[in-house]
Amino acid sequence: MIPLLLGLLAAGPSAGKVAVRAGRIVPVVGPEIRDGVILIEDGRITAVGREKKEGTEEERRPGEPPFLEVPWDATAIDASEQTVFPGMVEAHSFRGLDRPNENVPVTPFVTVLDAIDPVSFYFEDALRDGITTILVIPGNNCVIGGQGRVLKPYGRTAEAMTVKPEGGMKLSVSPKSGFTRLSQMAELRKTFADLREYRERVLERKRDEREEEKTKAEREGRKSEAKADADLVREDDLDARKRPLVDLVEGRMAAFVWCERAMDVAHAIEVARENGFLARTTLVLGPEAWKAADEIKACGRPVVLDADLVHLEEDALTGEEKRAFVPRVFHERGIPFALQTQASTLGSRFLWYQAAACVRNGVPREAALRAITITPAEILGLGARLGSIEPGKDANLLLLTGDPLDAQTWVDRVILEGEVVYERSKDERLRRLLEGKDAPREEKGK
Amino acid sequence: MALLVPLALGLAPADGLKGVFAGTVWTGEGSVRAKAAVLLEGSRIRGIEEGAVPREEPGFRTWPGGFVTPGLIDAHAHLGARADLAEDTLSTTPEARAMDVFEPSHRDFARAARAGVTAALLSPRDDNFVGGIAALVRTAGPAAGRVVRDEALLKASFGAVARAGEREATSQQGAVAALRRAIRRGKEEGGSRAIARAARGELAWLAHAGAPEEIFAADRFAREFGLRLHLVHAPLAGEAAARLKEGGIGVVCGPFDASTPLRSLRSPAALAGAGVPIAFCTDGPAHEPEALRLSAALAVRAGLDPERALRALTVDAAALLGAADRMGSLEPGRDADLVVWSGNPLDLGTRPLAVIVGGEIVWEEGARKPRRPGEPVAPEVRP
Amino acid sequence: MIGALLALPVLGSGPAEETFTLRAREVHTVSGARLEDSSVGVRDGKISGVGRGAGGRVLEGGSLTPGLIDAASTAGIAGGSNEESSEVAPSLRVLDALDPKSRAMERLARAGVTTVYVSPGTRGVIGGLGAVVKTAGASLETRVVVPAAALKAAMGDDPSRGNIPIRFGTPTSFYFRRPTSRMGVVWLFRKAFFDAAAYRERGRSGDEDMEILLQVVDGKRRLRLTARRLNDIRTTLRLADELGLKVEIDGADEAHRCAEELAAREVAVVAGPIPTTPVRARFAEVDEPCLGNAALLAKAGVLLALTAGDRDGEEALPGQALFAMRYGLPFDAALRAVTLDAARILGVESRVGSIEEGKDADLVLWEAAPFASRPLAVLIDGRLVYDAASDPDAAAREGR
Repeated sequence: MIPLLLGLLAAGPSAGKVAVRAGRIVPVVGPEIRDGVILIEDGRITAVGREKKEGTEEERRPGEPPFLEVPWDATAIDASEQTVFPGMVEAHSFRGLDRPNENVPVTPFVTVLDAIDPVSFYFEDALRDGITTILVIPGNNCVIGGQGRVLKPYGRTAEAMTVKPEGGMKLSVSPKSGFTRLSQMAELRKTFADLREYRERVLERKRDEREEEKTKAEREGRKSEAKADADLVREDDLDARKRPLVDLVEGRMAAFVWCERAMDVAHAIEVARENGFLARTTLVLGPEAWKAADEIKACGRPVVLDADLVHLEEDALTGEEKRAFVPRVFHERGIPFALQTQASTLGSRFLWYQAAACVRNGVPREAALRAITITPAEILGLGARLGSIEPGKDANLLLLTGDPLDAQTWVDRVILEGEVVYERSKDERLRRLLEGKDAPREEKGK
Repeated sequence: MALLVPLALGLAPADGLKGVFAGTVWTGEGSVRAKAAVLLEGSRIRGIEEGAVPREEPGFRTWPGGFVTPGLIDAHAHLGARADLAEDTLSTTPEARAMDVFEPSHRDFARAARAGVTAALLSPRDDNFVGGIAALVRTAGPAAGRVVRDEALLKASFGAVARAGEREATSQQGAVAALRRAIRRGKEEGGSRAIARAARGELAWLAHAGAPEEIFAADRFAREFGLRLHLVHAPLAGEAAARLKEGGIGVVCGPFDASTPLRSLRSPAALAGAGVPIAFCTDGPAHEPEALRLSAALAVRAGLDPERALRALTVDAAALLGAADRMGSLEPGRDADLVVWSGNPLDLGTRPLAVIVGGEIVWEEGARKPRRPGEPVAPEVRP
Repeated sequence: MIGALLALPVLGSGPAEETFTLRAREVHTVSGARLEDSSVGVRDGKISGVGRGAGGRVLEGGSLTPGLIDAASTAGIAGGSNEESSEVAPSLRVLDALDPKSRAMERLARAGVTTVYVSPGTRGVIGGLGAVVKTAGASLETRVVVPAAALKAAMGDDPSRGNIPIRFGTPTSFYFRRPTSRMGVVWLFRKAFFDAAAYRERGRSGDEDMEILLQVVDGKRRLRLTARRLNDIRTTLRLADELGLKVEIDGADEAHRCAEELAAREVAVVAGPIPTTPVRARFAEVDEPCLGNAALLAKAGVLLALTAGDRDGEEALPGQALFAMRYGLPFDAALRAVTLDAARILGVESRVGSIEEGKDADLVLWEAAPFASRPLAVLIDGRLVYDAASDPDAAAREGR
């Protein structure tokens, strides 16, 4: 379905074989490769290695990437002067929605599918800046906000953009506007208590039906197949508005829980644990929530960090300003973390800048690179498909003019599932942004 | 305390109080004297007799366990006239005089006297860049002697409160420019007399300057025009102590209470340590008169030398307010304003036993005196 | 856990000037050649040697630049940066409202910004006198470089926004006043200078406002104008011709549209801050953002400085330079725009802006390349005001 739609949308040959010759490959997982080649078939990476030159008899030493032969029928993409990096992944965003939240506090049944604006400037910019996968999910101003969707910033409709329809459920333990922490938690507990009651009622009804069926069968003298309690309730028996929460508590749906402050973290873990979805929970943290890092470590769940990476705080006693660089706190404890963007400062709207800020502040480069690629991919349950340049993964590749974390590096081309979907040389909007509105226009077709 | 000699009703005022004997006398200037008598003559202090013994003679009172200090001075208050001490429509009112709203019989003064506060600076509020002229008044005693200095200080304000609302100026730079203009106009013919006097250094300025930039601006302003300046409501002044010392600027500290941050409480110690003159205030009636001793005690807890704290409540406050020749110590010739305490006044368990203003006992524990016309109402309060 | 939140080193209260030798793989003197593997000596608050150390404490890093200069900051102003009660107020001085303990200034110093021109806001047609100050030092008094610097004025929408035309009712607020339009702003600007001329003709004296305007007319005082839109920039140039004024422009969002003209007329421009998102802002005066503004101005040969405006975060001015480079400004031009050329625009190039013997020892030692890496040490007037080695946050990361 997805490749089919892509085929309709994208220009050039669809699917097929592609070979990307790269000056440098930064695969995130595994060592860097100089003068490498990436082979792609039907939108998937089939092999990563060095190109076997005809007539040479170079031997592969153990631990080195394999020598590959470029198939004769592959479309060759030359990036021999460039650095190839996996498409970046943003594990939590409510940009690209016309409005991030409902007014009603508990809306598990709504889905961002209905509110995604495919022509939003955010998606255009995300592609230009190398973000190829985004979980778009309702905002933080909710009790239970609704369901998110994993998208790529390419396509004319939300369906066409979809990478994974079940993005996860958004919850918040920090008070929604007009709520206090007391009423927020009360509302959450009540929602889950109501859900339990509802499910018991349905089960009760199904049991009655089973009994009836049994009696009827006995009367008619046939043998009835008595189902076990666990199999009794089918999806159709549930109210469609309740189904998403049932999916959540039965472990079929991921949860993203917003914790604005450190004090909220314990509540988030409690709610998730009590209702059986802790194993699929990701905590979305505000800048101050780093103080609960030890509790987060103990619960073993990953986090998505606020775009503001530095937490400044005035000491209540001395008036001195204290600074904490948040990602380092999580890195040092070995908690998987993903970075987020935000259009509030010059750099924070770029994932690469966020990772570069991590490196500048002492997070090892490898950990910083993971926080914008493989870690968010794993958080989205797409670790096997996205986030690194490895055989078997989707061919989402960025062809960069330099190192991924250098501020002077540009995304030159973006390959999405094997197709080139962005070329900087054809980015008229970018040219105008850099040269001003009086800049002479390029002639079409030149 | 029941052992105290009950005050005879109608204690011969004609003869007047001649002497006060107490276990401890802290004179304000110099050391603490044990077993001493403060000798009075009319409304003045005649001297101190060391090694005195209790005497049974008329006009001589004895508190064997008492601790005598000069009467405390509240260096910034709005007693009895809070609402009247700021003009709302104008931001520069140098000719306004706090004297004009002084109401000697107001209960605020009686309450202050009962707490051992015998004098207070009646000051315009912080709401105007130039608020007017503050007066130094006694809190009790005969009406004739209540005003000590009718033109004690010129009150100014660099605070945000003076920039609030829709009137000139709305910014700190605008406020300073307004003060500059006021000085320049004051120097011209027909300008404000008060400003002219203050510009010549005849009248010191008392400026509200809460934030560091306000202190900085006030200091620069004083240097620019060669003014005599003291600060009030400057909780962080301690952090600029060296600079203030250099400029000869004094600071009126407080009022402090249990909610005051430690950073502010440390200010008096830092100032005193750098040699900056300090005094304390209550902003009464916004705070109770007891807040004066409490402020000093909290400052002591945060590092201020207790001796300096007592001086700040008395002799140093008098000097800062330009009345060192009249009050603040028990030197011969000074006004006989003193307080007999049950112990050191910096000890919060201490309470006043008797308050003497102008040589007369204006309040005494356990005493019931018929109220005379013009005398403050001082309802009995037992600790 | 709480240990992870660490107090930042106190700025300005460190020991008085010491003797330092700063070594770096690259020393960007800005005024002269770039030196490889070289040293700079600091003694008595001044640069004592370039290419040779001065003994004393040795600090080493990847690169060394002069302290950065923001030529159009609003950092450190306590309360409002505008005086709302008056639209023409030349004699207001920003120094009177400067917070000596300003958090924003502390942050700027930590980021390597050592000198700033702090100016009044843009609500006044003529807003008053800015000040050039260092961002840290023993006391604010010693930090002041120019107490009463360029006069600040503004074109465009800001001075009229919020004023109410008197149409009906009783004018009970001082917001019932001119200007209420772009034309009104220009009219008041022109009138102020006409008044000053008349004041001189009548031989009067003693009015500080008028004296300041006459200093500008006589070329004894700089005039800084905020003009964002192309038409405001053109108006500024026209007024300069008409009244015989020498002007510098900040705001300047659309300056790239008349870059050649500005270069030909030798009008200096302080560009920035760069828009954080390349989307048309709903209420902005300029309808289309241009990320390449600084690059286009530099290319045309305009004397250029960069500013981070009111932004004092970790990005501040180094972030502006870094992104100006991303958007087309060559490194050397970006470095000059935040050091020597900024100093020239402020008229303080004899003291700061380059690494030369005898200049103030305002220096930034970077871990690697300037702007892209973090500062290891920041010196202002020979004082070490930021030292990454004693920054507990930084120490923690090195496992000490």
